[in-house]
Amino acid sequence: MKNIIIILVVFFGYQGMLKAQESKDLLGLQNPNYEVSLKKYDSIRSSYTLQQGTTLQETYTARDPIEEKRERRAQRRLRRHERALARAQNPTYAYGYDPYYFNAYGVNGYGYNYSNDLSVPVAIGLGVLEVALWSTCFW
Amino acid sequence: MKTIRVKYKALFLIIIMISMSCSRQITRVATDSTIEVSGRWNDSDSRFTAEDLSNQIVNANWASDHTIKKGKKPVVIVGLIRNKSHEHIESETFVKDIEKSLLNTQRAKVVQGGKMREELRGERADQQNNASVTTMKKFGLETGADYIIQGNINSIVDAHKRDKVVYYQVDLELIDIQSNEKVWIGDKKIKKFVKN
Repeated sequence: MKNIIIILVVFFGYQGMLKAQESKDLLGLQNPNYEVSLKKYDSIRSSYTLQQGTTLQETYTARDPIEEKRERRAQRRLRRHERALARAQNPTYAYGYDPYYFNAYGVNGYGYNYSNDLSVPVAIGLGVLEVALWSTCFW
Repeated sequence: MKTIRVKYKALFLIIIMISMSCSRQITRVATDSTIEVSGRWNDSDSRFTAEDLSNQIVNANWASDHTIKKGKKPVVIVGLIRNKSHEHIESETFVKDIEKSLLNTQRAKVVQGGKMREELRGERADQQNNASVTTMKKFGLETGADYIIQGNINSIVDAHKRDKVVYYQVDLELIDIQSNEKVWIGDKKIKKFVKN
Protein backbone atom coordinates (compact mmCIF):
# COMPACT_ATOMS: atom_id res chain seq x y z
CA MET A 1 0.00 0.00 0.00
CA LYS A 2 2.82 2.34 0.97
CA ASN A 3 4.57 1.60 -2.33
CA ILE A 4 1.46 2.44 -4.33
CA ILE A 5 1.14 5.78 -2.53
CA ILE A 6 4.83 6.56 -3.17
CA ILE A 7 4.48 5.67 -6.87
CA LEU A 8 1.39 7.88 -7.19
CA VAL A 9 3.12 10.79 -5.41
CA VAL A 10 6.18 10.45 -7.66
CA PHE A 11 3.99 10.19 -10.80
CA PHE A 12 1.83 13.23 -10.00
CA GLY A 13 4.89 15.14 -8.82
CA TYR A 14 6.59 14.48 -12.17
CA GLN A 15 3.45 15.52 -14.06
CA GLY A 16 3.33 18.72 -12.02
CA MET A 17 6.97 19.44 -12.82
CA LEU A 18 6.30 18.99 -16.55
CA LYS A 19 3.33 21.37 -16.36
CA ALA A 20 5.43 23.91 -14.48
CA GLN A 21 8.16 23.62 -17.13
CA GLU A 22 5.63 24.23 -19.91
CA SER A 23 4.17 27.28 -18.21
CA LYS A 24 7.69 28.66 -17.66
CA ASP A 25 8.22 28.82 -21.47
CA LEU A 26 5.08 30.89 -21.93
CA LEU A 27 5.40 34.63 -21.56
CA GLY A 28 2.71 36.34 -19.47
CA LEU A 29 -0.60 35.87 -21.24
CA GLN A 30 0.84 33.94 -24.17
CA ASN A 31 -1.52 31.43 -25.68
CA PRO A 32 -0.37 27.88 -24.79
CA ASN A 33 -1.30 26.74 -28.33
CA TYR A 34 1.07 29.21 -30.01
CA GLU A 35 3.16 26.39 -31.46
CA VAL A 36 0.31 25.34 -33.77
CA SER A 37 0.42 28.73 -35.43
CA LEU A 38 4.22 28.84 -35.37
CA LYS A 39 4.43 25.53 -37.24
CA LYS A 40 1.86 26.68 -39.81
CA TYR A 41 3.57 29.97 -40.66
CA ASP A 42 7.15 28.71 -40.37
CA SER A 43 6.67 26.56 -43.46
CA ILE A 44 5.23 29.36 -45.62
CA ARG A 45 7.09 32.40 -44.31
CA SER A 46 9.33 32.88 -47.36
CA SER A 47 6.31 33.42 -49.61
CA TYR A 48 5.47 36.48 -47.50
CA THR A 49 8.87 37.84 -46.55
CA LEU A 50 10.32 37.76 -50.07
CA GLN A 51 7.62 40.21 -51.20
CA GLN A 52 8.48 42.77 -48.54
CA GLY A 53 9.16 46.21 -49.95
CA THR A 54 7.54 45.39 -53.28
CA THR A 55 4.23 46.30 -54.90
CA LEU A 56 1.74 43.57 -55.64
CA GLN A 57 -0.07 44.60 -58.83
CA GLU A 58 -3.74 43.73 -58.45
CA THR A 59 -4.94 46.25 -61.02
CA TYR A 60 -8.36 46.32 -62.62
CA THR A 61 -9.45 47.62 -66.02
CA ALA A 62 -11.40 50.83 -65.77
CA ARG A 63 -14.04 51.67 -68.37
CA ASP A 64 -12.81 54.59 -70.43
CA PRO A 65 -14.42 55.23 -73.86
CA ILE A 66 -11.48 57.25 -75.21
CA GLU A 67 -8.93 54.62 -74.20
CA GLU A 68 -11.08 51.86 -75.69
CA LYS A 69 -11.27 53.80 -78.96
CA ARG A 70 -7.48 54.26 -79.00
CA GLU A 71 -6.96 50.57 -78.35
CA ARG A 72 -9.30 49.58 -81.17
CA ARG A 73 -7.44 51.93 -83.52
CA ALA A 74 -4.06 50.51 -82.48
CA GLN A 75 -5.27 46.96 -83.04
CA ARG A 76 -6.55 47.92 -86.48
CA ARG A 77 -3.17 49.42 -87.40
CA LEU A 78 -1.35 46.37 -86.12
CA ARG A 79 -3.61 44.10 -88.17
CA ARG A 80 -2.93 46.13 -91.30
CA HIS A 81 0.79 46.13 -90.62
CA GLU A 82 0.86 42.36 -90.15
CA ARG A 83 -1.05 41.90 -93.36
CA ALA A 84 1.37 44.17 -95.22
CA LEU A 85 4.30 42.22 -93.81
CA ALA A 86 2.76 38.94 -94.91
CA ARG A 87 2.16 40.40 -98.36
CA ALA A 88 5.76 41.62 -98.64
CA GLN A 89 7.23 38.32 -97.54
CA ASN A 90 4.98 36.18 -99.69
CA PRO A 91 4.04 37.66 -103.12
CA THR A 92 1.51 34.92 -103.72
CA TYR A 93 -0.17 35.80 -100.45
CA ALA A 94 -3.58 34.25 -100.36
CA TYR A 95 -6.10 36.61 -98.87
CA GLY A 96 -8.16 35.00 -96.21
CA TYR A 97 -11.70 35.97 -95.52
CA ASP A 98 -11.65 39.20 -93.55
CA PRO A 99 -15.07 40.84 -93.35
CA TYR A 100 -13.57 43.89 -91.67
CA TYR A 101 -11.08 44.72 -94.41
CA PHE A 102 -12.61 43.51 -97.69
CA ASN A 103 -15.99 44.28 -99.05
CA ALA A 104 -18.15 41.88 -101.00
CA TYR A 105 -16.37 42.68 -104.31
CA GLY A 106 -12.86 41.80 -103.14
CA VAL A 107 -11.69 45.42 -103.22
CA ASN A 108 -9.75 46.57 -100.22
CA GLY A 109 -9.85 49.87 -98.32
CA TYR A 110 -7.19 51.48 -100.50
CA GLY A 111 -9.26 51.07 -103.65
CA TYR A 112 -6.88 48.60 -105.31
CA ASN A 113 -8.02 45.37 -106.80
CA TYR A 114 -5.42 42.66 -106.35
CA SER A 115 -7.24 40.07 -108.41
CA ASN A 116 -5.72 41.13 -111.78
CA ASP A 117 -2.16 40.50 -113.02
CA LEU A 118 -0.71 43.67 -111.49
CA SER A 119 -1.55 42.47 -108.00
CA VAL A 120 1.87 41.00 -107.17
CA PRO A 121 4.12 44.04 -107.89
CA VAL A 122 1.59 46.45 -106.36
CA ALA A 123 1.29 44.32 -103.22
CA ILE A 124 5.08 44.02 -102.87
CA GLY A 125 5.53 47.75 -103.40
CA LEU A 126 2.91 48.71 -100.85
CA GLY A 127 4.18 46.16 -98.35
CA VAL A 128 7.80 47.29 -98.67
CA LEU A 129 6.80 50.96 -98.39
CA GLU A 130 4.75 50.31 -95.25
CA VAL A 131 7.53 48.24 -93.66
CA ALA A 132 10.05 50.99 -94.48
CA LEU A 133 7.87 53.70 -92.94
CA TRP A 134 7.29 51.60 -89.83
CA SER A 135 10.95 50.77 -89.40
CA THR A 136 11.99 54.46 -89.59
CA CYS A 137 9.92 55.14 -86.50
CA PHE A 138 12.02 52.67 -84.47
CA TRP A 139 15.40 54.21 -85.37
CA MET B 1 18.56 65.46 -117.32
CA LYS B 2 15.35 67.06 -116.19
CA THR B 3 13.94 63.73 -115.01
CA ILE B 4 17.09 63.06 -112.94
CA ARG B 5 16.71 66.46 -111.21
CA VAL B 6 13.06 65.72 -110.47
CA LYS B 7 14.02 62.34 -109.06
CA TYR B 8 16.64 63.91 -106.79
CA LYS B 9 14.14 66.50 -105.59
CA ALA B 10 11.61 63.76 -104.86
CA LEU B 11 14.22 61.72 -102.99
CA PHE B 12 15.27 64.79 -100.98
CA LEU B 13 11.65 65.52 -100.09
CA ILE B 14 11.06 61.91 -98.99
CA ILE B 15 14.17 61.96 -96.76
CA ILE B 16 13.07 65.24 -95.15
CA MET B 17 9.53 63.93 -94.61
CA ILE B 18 10.78 60.73 -92.98
CA SER B 19 13.28 62.54 -90.76
CA MET B 20 10.73 65.14 -89.68
CA SER B 21 7.94 62.65 -89.02
CA CYS B 22 9.98 60.76 -86.42
CA SER B 23 12.21 63.54 -85.05
CA ARG B 24 12.39 63.86 -81.28
CA GLN B 25 13.08 66.88 -79.13
CA ILE B 26 14.54 66.27 -75.69
CA THR B 27 14.79 68.90 -72.98
CA ARG B 28 16.15 68.38 -69.47
CA VAL B 29 13.80 69.64 -66.77
CA ALA B 30 13.98 69.92 -62.99
CA THR B 31 12.92 66.73 -61.20
CA ASP B 32 10.54 68.73 -59.01
CA SER B 33 8.72 70.30 -61.96
CA THR B 34 5.17 69.18 -62.59
CA ILE B 35 4.43 68.11 -66.16
CA GLU B 36 1.10 66.51 -66.96
CA VAL B 37 1.06 64.58 -70.23
CA SER B 38 -1.45 61.76 -70.21
CA GLY B 39 -3.34 62.31 -66.97
CA ARG B 40 -2.11 58.99 -65.59
CA TRP B 41 -0.17 58.45 -62.36
CA ASN B 42 3.18 60.18 -62.82
CA ASP B 43 6.33 61.30 -61.00
CA SER B 44 4.61 64.38 -59.55
CA ASP B 45 1.91 62.23 -57.95
CA SER B 46 4.58 60.00 -56.47
CA ARG B 47 6.52 63.01 -55.17
CA PHE B 48 3.47 64.65 -53.58
CA THR B 49 2.53 61.31 -51.98
CA ALA B 50 6.05 60.87 -50.63
CA GLU B 51 6.20 64.40 -49.19
CA ASP B 52 2.77 64.20 -47.58
CA LEU B 53 3.13 60.72 -46.10
CA SER B 54 6.67 61.42 -44.88
CA ASN B 55 5.42 64.48 -42.99
CA GLN B 56 2.55 62.48 -41.52
CA ILE B 57 4.64 59.54 -40.33
CA VAL B 58 7.42 61.71 -38.89
CA ASN B 59 5.10 64.08 -37.05
CA ALA B 60 2.85 61.41 -35.51
CA ASN B 61 3.26 60.31 -31.89
CA TRP B 62 3.90 56.60 -32.38
CA ALA B 63 7.70 56.90 -32.39
CA SER B 64 7.92 59.01 -29.23
CA ASP B 65 5.36 56.77 -27.51
CA HIS B 66 7.51 53.74 -28.33
CA THR B 67 10.69 55.44 -27.16
CA ILE B 68 9.08 56.41 -23.83
CA LYS B 69 7.59 52.93 -23.32
CA LYS B 70 10.56 50.79 -24.40
CA GLY B 71 13.46 53.17 -23.82
CA LYS B 72 14.80 52.77 -27.36
CA LYS B 73 14.02 53.87 -30.89
CA PRO B 74 11.43 51.84 -32.82
CA VAL B 75 12.59 49.58 -35.64
CA VAL B 76 10.54 49.62 -38.85
CA ILE B 77 10.41 47.26 -41.83
CA VAL B 78 8.57 47.90 -45.10
CA GLY B 79 6.07 45.20 -45.97
CA LEU B 80 3.95 44.59 -49.04
CA ILE B 81 2.05 47.39 -50.78
CA ARG B 82 -0.97 46.31 -52.81
CA ASN B 83 -1.79 48.26 -55.94
CA LYS B 84 -5.52 47.81 -56.45
CA SER B 85 -5.88 50.79 -58.78
CA HIS B 86 -6.51 50.70 -62.55
CA GLU B 87 -2.91 51.65 -63.41
CA HIS B 88 0.50 50.13 -62.90
CA ILE B 89 1.97 52.03 -59.94
CA GLU B 90 5.30 51.25 -58.35
CA SER B 91 5.17 52.15 -54.66
CA GLU B 92 8.93 52.00 -54.19
CA THR B 93 9.24 55.52 -55.59
CA PHE B 94 7.48 57.03 -52.58
CA VAL B 95 8.12 54.37 -49.92
CA LYS B 96 11.87 54.93 -50.24
CA ASP B 97 11.33 58.63 -49.48
CA ILE B 98 9.36 57.69 -46.36
CA GLU B 99 12.17 55.40 -45.18
CA LYS B 100 14.64 58.19 -45.87
CA SER B 101 12.65 60.72 -43.84
CA LEU B 102 12.45 58.28 -40.89
CA LEU B 103 16.21 57.84 -40.95
CA ASN B 104 17.07 61.50 -41.53
CA THR B 105 14.86 62.71 -38.69
CA GLN B 106 16.21 59.88 -36.48
CA ARG B 107 12.68 59.01 -35.40
CA ALA B 108 13.15 55.30 -36.08
CA LYS B 109 15.54 52.66 -37.33
CA VAL B 110 14.75 50.93 -40.60
CA VAL B 111 15.73 47.32 -41.36
CA GLN B 112 16.02 45.64 -44.72
CA GLY B 113 13.42 43.12 -45.83
CA GLY B 114 12.48 41.05 -48.87
CA LYS B 115 14.93 39.84 -51.50
CA MET B 116 17.60 42.31 -50.46
CA ARG B 117 17.65 40.79 -46.99
CA GLU B 118 18.14 37.38 -48.59
CA GLU B 119 21.11 38.85 -50.43
CA LEU B 120 22.54 40.11 -47.13
CA ARG B 121 22.18 36.66 -45.60
CA GLY B 122 23.85 35.17 -48.61
CA GLU B 123 26.78 37.54 -48.20
CA ARG B 124 26.98 36.67 -44.49
CA ALA B 125 27.01 32.98 -45.36
CA ASP B 126 29.80 33.62 -47.86
CA GLN B 127 31.83 35.41 -45.20
CA GLN B 128 31.75 32.30 -43.00
CA ASN B 129 34.10 30.62 -45.48
CA ASN B 130 35.96 33.48 -47.08
CA ALA B 131 36.36 36.40 -44.63
CA SER B 132 38.95 36.64 -41.89
CA VAL B 133 37.71 35.63 -38.43
CA THR B 134 37.96 39.18 -37.08
CA THR B 135 35.84 40.71 -39.86
CA MET B 136 33.37 37.85 -40.34
CA LYS B 137 29.76 38.79 -39.46
CA LYS B 138 27.74 36.34 -37.42
CA PHE B 139 24.30 34.86 -37.96
CA GLY B 140 21.48 35.39 -35.50
CA LEU B 141 22.31 38.97 -34.57
CA GLU B 142 19.91 40.84 -36.87
CA THR B 143 17.72 43.58 -35.41
CA GLY B 144 14.10 42.45 -35.27
CA ALA B 145 11.54 44.98 -36.46
CA ASP B 146 8.95 46.36 -34.04
CA TYR B 147 6.66 47.75 -36.73
CA ILE B 148 5.78 46.92 -40.33
CA ILE B 149 4.55 49.35 -42.98
CA GLN B 150 1.75 47.93 -45.11
CA GLY B 151 -0.41 49.72 -47.62
CA ASN B 152 -2.92 49.87 -50.42
CA ILE B 153 -3.33 52.00 -53.52
CA ASN B 154 -6.89 52.38 -54.75
CA SER B 155 -8.48 54.34 -57.57
CA ILE B 156 -11.89 55.35 -58.86
CA VAL B 157 -12.42 56.31 -62.51
CA ASP B 158 -15.43 58.20 -63.77
CA ALA B 159 -15.38 58.74 -67.53
CA HIS B 160 -17.98 60.11 -69.89
CA LYS B 161 -17.37 60.87 -73.56
CA ARG B 162 -14.14 62.91 -73.59
CA ASP B 163 -14.04 63.84 -69.88
CA LYS B 164 -12.58 61.78 -67.09
CA VAL B 165 -12.19 62.15 -63.35
CA VAL B 166 -9.58 59.94 -61.71
CA TYR B 167 -9.25 59.62 -57.96
CA TYR B 168 -6.30 57.92 -56.28
CA GLN B 169 -6.02 57.05 -52.62
CA VAL B 170 -2.79 55.78 -51.11
CA ASP B 171 -3.19 54.34 -47.60
CA LEU B 172 -0.24 53.35 -45.47
CA GLU B 173 -0.46 51.73 -42.07
CA LEU B 174 2.14 51.11 -39.40
CA ILE B 175 1.42 47.99 -37.41
CA ASP B 176 2.95 46.63 -34.21
CA ILE B 177 4.29 43.21 -35.22
CA GLN B 178 3.85 41.77 -31.72
CA SER B 179 0.29 42.86 -31.07
CA ASN B 180 -1.10 43.61 -34.60
CA GLU B 181 -2.13 47.04 -33.32
CA LYS B 182 -2.23 49.82 -35.88
CA VAL B 183 -0.23 52.65 -34.40
CA TRP B 184 -0.41 55.03 -37.37
CA ILE B 185 -2.51 55.39 -40.51
CA GLY B 186 -1.61 57.87 -43.20
CA ASP B 187 -3.23 58.63 -46.52
CA LYS B 188 -2.79 60.72 -49.62
CA LYS B 189 -5.69 61.55 -51.91
CA ILE B 190 -5.24 62.82 -55.46
CA LYS B 191 -8.02 63.84 -57.81
CA LYS B 192 -7.53 64.67 -61.49
CA PHE B 193 -9.86 65.99 -64.13
CA VAL B 194 -8.77 64.92 -67.62
CA LYS B 195 -10.31 66.57 -70.67
CA ASN B 196 -9.46 64.87 -73.96
